[in-house]
Amino acid sequence: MKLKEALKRKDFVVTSEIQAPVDQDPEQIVKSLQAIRGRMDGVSLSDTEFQGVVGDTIKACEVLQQNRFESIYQTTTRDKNRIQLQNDLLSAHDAGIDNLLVFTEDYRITGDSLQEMMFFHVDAGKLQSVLQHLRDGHTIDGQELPLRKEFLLGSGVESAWGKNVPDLEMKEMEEMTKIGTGYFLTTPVFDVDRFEKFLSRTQTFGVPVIAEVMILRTAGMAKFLNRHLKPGLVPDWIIKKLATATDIEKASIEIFADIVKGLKHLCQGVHIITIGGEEKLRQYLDAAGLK
Amino acid sequence: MIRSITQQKSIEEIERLTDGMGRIFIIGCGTCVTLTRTGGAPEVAAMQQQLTEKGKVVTGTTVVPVACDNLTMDMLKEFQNPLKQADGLLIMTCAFGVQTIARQISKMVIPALDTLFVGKETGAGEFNEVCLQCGTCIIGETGGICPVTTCHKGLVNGPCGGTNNGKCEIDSNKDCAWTLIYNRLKDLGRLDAMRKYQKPRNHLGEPTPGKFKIPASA
Repeated sequence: MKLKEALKRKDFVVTSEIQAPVDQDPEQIVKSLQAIRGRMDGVSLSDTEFQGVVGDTIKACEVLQQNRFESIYQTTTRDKNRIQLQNDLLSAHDAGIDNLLVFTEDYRITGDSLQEMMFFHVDAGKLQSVLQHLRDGHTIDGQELPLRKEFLLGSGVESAWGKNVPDLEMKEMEEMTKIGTGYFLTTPVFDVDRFEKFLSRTQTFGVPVIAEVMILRTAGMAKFLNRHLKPGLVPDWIIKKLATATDIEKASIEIFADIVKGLKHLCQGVHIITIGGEEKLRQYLDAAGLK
Repeated sequence: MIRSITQQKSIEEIERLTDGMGRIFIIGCGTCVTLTRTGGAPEVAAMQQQLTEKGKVVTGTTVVPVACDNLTMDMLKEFQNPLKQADGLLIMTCAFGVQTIARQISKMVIPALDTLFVGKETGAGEFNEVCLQCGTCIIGETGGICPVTTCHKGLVNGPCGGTNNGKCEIDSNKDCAWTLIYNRLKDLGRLDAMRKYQKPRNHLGEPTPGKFKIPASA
C-alpha cells in the first residue's frame, strides 16, 4: 500500500487517471507510463466511460501492479447493483489491488448508453453497506469470506456545494469519514483561492484531501467544462490565457503548474486528469516541480 | 387527485401497430387523458381524421367516462356492431384502460398512448410524480418529500454532488429533492433527521408483479 504509506508520511502525493483502452493490450499502458516511473504515487483506472465500453479495468490494474506501478481501481455505484459491486471489489482485491476510488457518478445525460438502467442502489458514501461486510470478512448476504478485504478507499467530494445547503459538505465528509475513507478526492480545482475558502470552511476530520487538477489544453475545453459540468468552474482568466496564447502548450503547462504550486501548501496531493495525452504528462510534472 | 399521465405514441408507431387492420374502432376516456389532452374527445376526433387520411375505415369512436372502471363494458354495449366490424381497437387511454378493455373484448387492442407515471396535478396543466410506489416509504423522516421519486437518482441519502443552488444538475428547471428536504426539515427544526442514515433501498418492498388481497380477518 504505497499510496497509504505516502499519505501517512504526509508526502504531497501525485496520482493520475488513465483509461484502460478497449482495443489495446494493458502492456501498452505500462509502456506509456514508463516516462513518469517513480513520479506517481498511484495511477487510477476507471471502469466507467461515457460510451459504456471500457477495457478490462481490473486486468489493467493488475498488469500495472505487476509492473510496480501502484494502481487504483476506480468504479461507480451508478452502473452496478450491490452484488456486482461486491464481485468487482473481491476480484480487484484478489488481483492484488488495494486502492479503491468510488464515485456515485453523474446521472447519465450524454453518451451512447442513455437507454440503460442506472442503479444508484447505494451512493458512493453508502458503499459502506458493501465495504464494511468485506472488511468484516463476509458477503452482503452474510456468507463467510476466506479473508478480510482491506482497501484504501478514496471518496469524492464536491469542492463547491450549492449555496442553499450550507453544511452539506460537512455532512458528506462526516459520512465518508465514518465509513473509513482514506482520503478525499475533490472535484476539479482551477481557482486556488476559492478552493482555499472551501477547505477553511469545511473540516476534513483529519482525513487527507487530494485535489483533482485537470489539464486544460484549449480554451474550448475550458468552455465545454463550464457549459456542461458547472457554470463558472473554470475562471475567465484561464480561458482568456488559453484563447490568446501564441504558444498554447506553454500556456497550458503554465496554468497547470500555477494551480499545483498554489495547492502545495493547501492540501495533501493532486490527482491529475490528463484526458488522453499521458505521453506529455512528464513536461507538466517538470513544470510544476512534482518530484 | 392522482392521475395517470400519458403521452401519445408517434403516428408512425400507431401505423405500425395497426398494420394489416383496415377497420379500427377508437376509444378515448373522460378522466385522466382528457385532463392531459392525450385521449379526450378532441384527440379522439383528431385521431379519427388522421387514420381516415391514412386510408383506414373508422367503424366508430367513443369516449367512455372512466376506462379503467369495470363499468366500461356496459358503456361499450351500445357499440356492439361497430366494435364487431373492427379489426382492432385503438385505445387512447392509459394502460389501465387498455387492459380493462382487453380483458373483456376478444379483439386485438392497440394502445395509442404510452403511460408515463401516476402523477398529481400540481398546477394548471402541470403534473408531477410524487410517489412511485416503492413499497418502503421513508417520507416520515424526510419532511414528507419523497427523494426516491423526486431525486433523479432516487438517492435515499442525499444530495449528490450535482445539487446546484437548489436545482438539479441535469435540469436547471427541476428542484433538487434533497435541497427541498433540507429546507423543509430546517423550517420544522428537524435538521437532525438529515443525518439519519437510510439503509440501501429494499427492492423486495415493491412486489413485482403487485398483487394484493384483503385478508379474511380485515
